[in-house]
Amino acid sequence: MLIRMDSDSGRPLFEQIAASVRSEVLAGRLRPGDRLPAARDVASAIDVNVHTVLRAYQELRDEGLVDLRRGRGAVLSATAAPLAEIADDIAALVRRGAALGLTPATLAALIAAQGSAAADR
Amino acid sequence: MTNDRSRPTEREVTAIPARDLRRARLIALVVGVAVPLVLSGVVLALVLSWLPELPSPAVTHWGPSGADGFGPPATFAWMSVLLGFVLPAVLTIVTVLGVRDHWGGAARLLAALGLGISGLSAVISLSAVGVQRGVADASQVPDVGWHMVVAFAVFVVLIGVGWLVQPHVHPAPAAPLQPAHIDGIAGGERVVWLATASLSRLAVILISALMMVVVGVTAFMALRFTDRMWVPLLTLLLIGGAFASSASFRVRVGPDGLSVRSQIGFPRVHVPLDEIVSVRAVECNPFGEFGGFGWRLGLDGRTGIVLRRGPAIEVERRDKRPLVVTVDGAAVGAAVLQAYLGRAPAPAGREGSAGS
Repeated sequence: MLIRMDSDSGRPLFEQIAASVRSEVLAGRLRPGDRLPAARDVASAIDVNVHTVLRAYQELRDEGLVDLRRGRGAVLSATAAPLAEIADDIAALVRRGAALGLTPATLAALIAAQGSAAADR
Repeated sequence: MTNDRSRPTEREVTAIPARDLRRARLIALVVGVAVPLVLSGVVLALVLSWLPELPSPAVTHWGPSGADGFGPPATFAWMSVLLGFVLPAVLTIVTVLGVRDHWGGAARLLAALGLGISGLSAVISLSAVGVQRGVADASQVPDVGWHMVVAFAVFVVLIGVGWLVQPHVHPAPAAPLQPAHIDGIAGGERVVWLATASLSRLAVILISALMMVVVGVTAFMALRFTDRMWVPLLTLLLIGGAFASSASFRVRVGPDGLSVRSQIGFPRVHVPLDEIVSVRAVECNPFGEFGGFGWRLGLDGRTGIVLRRGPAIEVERRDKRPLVVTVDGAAVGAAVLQAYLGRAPAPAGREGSAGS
């Protein structure tokens, strides 16, 4: 699993770890049933506290991306599969947004707004 | 889903020509199966014709102080077949099937070893039976010490002969995989790649079979010589330990280089970034290139932590043997190492690069 951390970016570290896992799923390199590396190993590899990694894993669990089980660690759940499926669409959307001068952050906000509008209806 | 395994067409380019491969396989089968068949057939015929002249029970084992094991004379008949033909044939056939299209020195050596074992068995059977012909009682059977020296010499010579009569086929050069690309690593950034490498099912089956054979043979010996019960126990312990230590490895690529560590902590290896000359992802066939699975030295001079057939990270090290580690997603791991190599021109420039 590839983990990218940027201490200069200002994003919380746990958020960056969770984002790394998400992008591995999007790239098709992590599949449902795959086990994430042990939090202890990740922590020592990227030089952060174990709790930071565990917090990232908990965030992913709250999103339904991984299952956390005692003794088995973090396992990518079956609900992660659609993420890889939609990866191409997202890449196309980001490309189209860039052509129109929209940043990925703006796109994300638009999608969130669209989502809440759909929920209200 | 696109995987980082190389496409079949790509592998074809570096493969051994089909005719050379067929020839190498055929000669290996002659050396490791056909010759042992003929040899053990001749030995069996001789042994059977001599059996009536043997005392019963006959001497079946010689210890340091002379004959110390006794059994029915027929023991020699089935031993000459089992050790002289079945073992070499199984060894050779498993090798030929396992290596498939990645023929190399390891396969050649295993077939030659089969011939050597057959020769060893032939000399042992013939001398053990020969010295007992016409002896009325097993207690008067002479020692066979120097026969064993001859048997060992024959063993070594036949391995050499078996090696020389086989054609020299270069192991197929590892096919490089489609390189993965990752973005360059910025100053404040930390990119690590973590993966687990585990033994393939084929390796587990082969090793378990080998374990059962070794344990079975030693247990059989120990049952006959109960004072040496520690032999199979020690064997079991050694093999079990080796198995456990090489069943699964954690692979890590980071700013400190490449490290590979067994799940139980030992063995482990760490390759610092400044020791790496180059890195690439390749397709690896452990059986053909290293003669088996686990932590190995290849005949081509590479060190391998090779647990399954498939993608592998290959690093060329300064002043050391190249290291090969089979692991899924090797292309990404190699790309991360490459990105760090591209970032650090000299290990000494660490303080100076802080502002860049």
